[in-house]
Amino acid sequence: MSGFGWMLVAFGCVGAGIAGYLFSLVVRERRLENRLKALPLNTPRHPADS
Amino acid sequence: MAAQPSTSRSSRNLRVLGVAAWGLLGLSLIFIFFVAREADDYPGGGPLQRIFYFHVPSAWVAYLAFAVVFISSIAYLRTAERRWDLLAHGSAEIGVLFTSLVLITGPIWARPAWGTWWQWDARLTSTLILWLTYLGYLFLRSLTRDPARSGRLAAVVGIVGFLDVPIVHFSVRWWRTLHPSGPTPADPTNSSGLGAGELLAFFTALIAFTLLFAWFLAMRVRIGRLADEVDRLEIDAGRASRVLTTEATEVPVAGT
Repeated sequence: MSGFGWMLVAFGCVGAGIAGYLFSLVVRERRLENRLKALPLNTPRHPADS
Repeated sequence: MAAQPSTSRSSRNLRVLGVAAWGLLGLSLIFIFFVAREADDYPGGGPLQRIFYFHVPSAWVAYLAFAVVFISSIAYLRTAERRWDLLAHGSAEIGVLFTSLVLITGPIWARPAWGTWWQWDARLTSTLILWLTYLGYLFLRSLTRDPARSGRLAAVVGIVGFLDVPIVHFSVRWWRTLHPSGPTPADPTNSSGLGAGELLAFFTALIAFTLLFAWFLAMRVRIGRLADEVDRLEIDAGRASRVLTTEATEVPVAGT
């Protein structure tokens, strides 16, 4: 492979790594927001916590 | 409700940081391809040499991330405050990501330049050890659900693991290695070092990667806080529903 080809592979790996991590952050945040929405509103607190 | 303005301000700051990081990353690509052309005619220069502009900033961000883990871990062991643990955990995750990028881009450059993917020399081996150490750190954190226990154990690994960072950095001076030493300004006497355009591209990429690290870390810490909050609310909801069920079964039927 030419130097240009190797460079493209390397830049592609860096881009995929950064984009992949960003995607994982977005997915994790979305899942947590869904769990938050699934909780009953105005959940009464346990007397032991008040 | 009082936390609303501060939350929206932190979201705005996060967005500004993200835009700055991606903007500078785009600018660095322009500089890498259109400005940093001094070494194009040298042997080993040209497109292959451009890998360096992402390889070295990735290594710098890995050092920075593990330094944050080191400082946050010490602070966590001293204070037992959860925020330090969240910071250390997030930073270790990002450090592992960028060390992975170093370990991927290095061999891609080495194959055509050295004729081999890998050499067991001091720089490469100590970097691999660093990566494995912090991979172990993340694995350790997933072993237990008790955040205080996993935080304490991980903090010890995070502090001890950082001892490898100076070994990685100075390995090229302490031992004979194939790996080139860090970038230096141009030396006209022997045509080595980076020219003005190359330095511009390099430092732009370095700042872009640093901002990207700060952006990722801020997002990761926010997710950590949100996870803690959701866990707490779910426990509260579970306890409250048990209380309501118990009270409902204990209510006497009217008229009896």
